Amino acid sequence: MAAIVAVCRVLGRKKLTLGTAAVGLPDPAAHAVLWRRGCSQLTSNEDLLLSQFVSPFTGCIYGRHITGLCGKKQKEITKAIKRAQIMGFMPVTYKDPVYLKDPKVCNIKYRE
Amino acid sequence: MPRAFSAPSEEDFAQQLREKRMACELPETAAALKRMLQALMDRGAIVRNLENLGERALPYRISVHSQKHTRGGYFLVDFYAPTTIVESIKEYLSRDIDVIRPNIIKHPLTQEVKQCEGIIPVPLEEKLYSTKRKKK
Repeated sequence: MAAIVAVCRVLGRKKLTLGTAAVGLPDPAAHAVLWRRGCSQLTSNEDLLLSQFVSPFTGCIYGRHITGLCGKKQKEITKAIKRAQIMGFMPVTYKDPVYLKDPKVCNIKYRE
Repeated sequence: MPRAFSAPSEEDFAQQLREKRMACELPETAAALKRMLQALMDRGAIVRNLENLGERALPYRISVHSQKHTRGGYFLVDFYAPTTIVESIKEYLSRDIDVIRPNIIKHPLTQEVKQCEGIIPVPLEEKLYSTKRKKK
């Protein structure tokens, strides 16, 4: 799993979050938490995956410099998040508290 | 209720078929569901599968048809249909009081997955100096 995430990340980034990626998925049934190279398609039901790219405090979608995704995937994720929010699958102004304990995928540091 | 269509493999359907999805309904479900599926089939859609994604609290309060809803049942309907009936289905569903938020989308599993090459490093030094020749 660790190697998989590294592929889609920015090449030559100083802090490679391989450590956190290796933590792996909490739930094998939620098969789409980390990206694969020939990536799985995004269905709007996957709150687990989409909530990882959303801020827990404000619910804003993280930008490319934080998620480290490549152009296409970032666009896809953004579209899927917006779609899920409009369809009523994902909250808009906050992150669903069920998903607060997810492994950190994005390169963001919160103030303690 | 998300509905899904897949690309036509059968020769019967000369029309382009797409996959669609839909979401949300209120607790008086069985009759409303039947109504909806009937409406779908009346317009020539072929229902493939109906899934119940459970009833839970909506992520935010949705006010529709002069009512505010906080709980709803989520249903996903797979169906085959020509693209021409999408409008009429949408219009019908928007009028139904029991449906909180109908959505029709293409079935995601039929889209082709393109190989992602990752991020290509761009040489930024070339962009630093402009290549235009200055007039002296």
